Amino acid sequence: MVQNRRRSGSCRLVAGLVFVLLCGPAFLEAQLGPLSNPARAPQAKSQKELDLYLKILTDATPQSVLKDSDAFASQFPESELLGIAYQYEMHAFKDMDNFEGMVTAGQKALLANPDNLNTLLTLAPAMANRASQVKNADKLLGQAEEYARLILSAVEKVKPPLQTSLEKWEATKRGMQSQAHEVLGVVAIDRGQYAIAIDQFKTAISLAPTPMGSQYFRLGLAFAAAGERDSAKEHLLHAAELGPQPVRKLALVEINKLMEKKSSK
Amino acid sequence: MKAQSPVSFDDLNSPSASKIASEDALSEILDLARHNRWNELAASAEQITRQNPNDADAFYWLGVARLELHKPIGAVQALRSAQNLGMDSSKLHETLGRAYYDLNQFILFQQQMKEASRLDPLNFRPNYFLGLYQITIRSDVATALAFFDKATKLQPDDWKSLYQEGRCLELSGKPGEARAYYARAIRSIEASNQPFGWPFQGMAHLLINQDPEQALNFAKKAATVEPNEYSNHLILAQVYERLGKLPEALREAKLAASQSPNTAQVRYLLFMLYRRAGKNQAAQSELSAFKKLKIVYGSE
Repeated sequence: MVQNRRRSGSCRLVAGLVFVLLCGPAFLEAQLGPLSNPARAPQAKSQKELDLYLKILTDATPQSVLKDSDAFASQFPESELLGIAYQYEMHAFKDMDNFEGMVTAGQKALLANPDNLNTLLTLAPAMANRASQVKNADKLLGQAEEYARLILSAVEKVKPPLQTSLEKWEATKRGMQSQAHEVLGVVAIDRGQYAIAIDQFKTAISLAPTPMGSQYFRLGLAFAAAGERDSAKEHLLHAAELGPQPVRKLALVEINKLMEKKSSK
Repeated sequence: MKAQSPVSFDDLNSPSASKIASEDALSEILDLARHNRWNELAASAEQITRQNPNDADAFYWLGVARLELHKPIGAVQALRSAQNLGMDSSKLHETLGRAYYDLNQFILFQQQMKEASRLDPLNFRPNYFLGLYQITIRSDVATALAFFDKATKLQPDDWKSLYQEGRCLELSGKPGEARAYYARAIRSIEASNQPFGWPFQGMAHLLINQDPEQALNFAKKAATVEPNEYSNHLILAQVYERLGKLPEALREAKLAASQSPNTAQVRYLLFMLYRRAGKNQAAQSELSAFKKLKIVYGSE
């Protein structure tokens, strides 16, 4: 899959921008709220099992989550709730900026439920971001791509609870699809596949309920990498308009670079 | 849980000999519960638990308040504290069971309801909740019927159990028996002047083909006593349709759709009504909405 791989400074910038995790509805967070089919909800077999699980859900610090999820895994290794406990562990590691721990916990969560969108939406962008910071990124890019494609298929299988309005669900779904396409764009640009990256970023923008400056910034950089300076400038200017300030700053720097290159020619 | 009422008046006793710090504090808590002031009750009970972490009653009331405030995780945690402090009453197990139900934890829910029944064999509510679980979650009408029957034998005037038993009998193809239970539920509601429409709706559903004029009276009554419940307007629309009163049927179906926009059944009825009224564009729009809802939410 790796074609013409060039890891330019621009590519690093594309990946380095933090993905904004869209807030999903409650049913993506846990299995305890309204569900489309409560009969299929994972069940605790004992009160003690649920006590510890609820403690994980209500722990105030990531350190407590890690301690309690470890205890949960060792005391209840067959628990139907273990996958979600690992999901909480993954978020705790993320809060502590522990990438390896986050990935390990997230992958355990996916073993229990391969369509766990909350986990996929956390791992895919994190891995795409991380790929720009390591030397041998092929594996990470491959996994980020795999998870992004899993998001796109899993989101089609979700049956939201009736309490979630159709409008809210459609916005949430488009947000998740947008994020998956953004990951695919980052993966493509890191592989030097600029035309694919442009397409993916365009799709991400078209699906986003509220397109973000960072998305236009990525699209602008993809155009710049593909040598399409006018389109690059147009989208970078849009990014600068939308902001926020860090994106605006980066976009203006990239616009200046484009102008300098043009004048030097 | 559907058709679940707030804590009934006979719940307003602490489930164990009062351990709450003072008679005044207990009196205040009971007064807050009597007036459904759950936020204040939760704050008050929480304060007592902080001052006295061994007060099982305070944890119990904190759990009750949180359950009423739709905070089932906090409810379970408070009720488990009460249990761990030695409380072992039917009411505790029943409330804890309800909190587990709200968390979709049905194994634990059933354990607690069975324990509540064991400790107080005359308490009808565990049977009512177990029946509700069987019909709502398991779609097991026969088992649900057995639980509701136990509940109505223990508490012959509980309208919710009577209504649910009628519903199970209707689903079991026993309309005559169902009608008798709906009628008992209606008498019970009317005697206590409670604003609930379910038994009227059940009766309208039962009579819609057999006696639509009588069904109309029951459907109107259901929509009058519970005007914010979409299913009451749905049944009223269906009865009007059966009687050939299209404008009235459309009005009620639109009301039902505005109250429950994701219910595919309402959209399909609107499609049929618009089609019969010759409004093809509106009919197609409702048919599209129906198909979309079926795809997004699946079967209801």
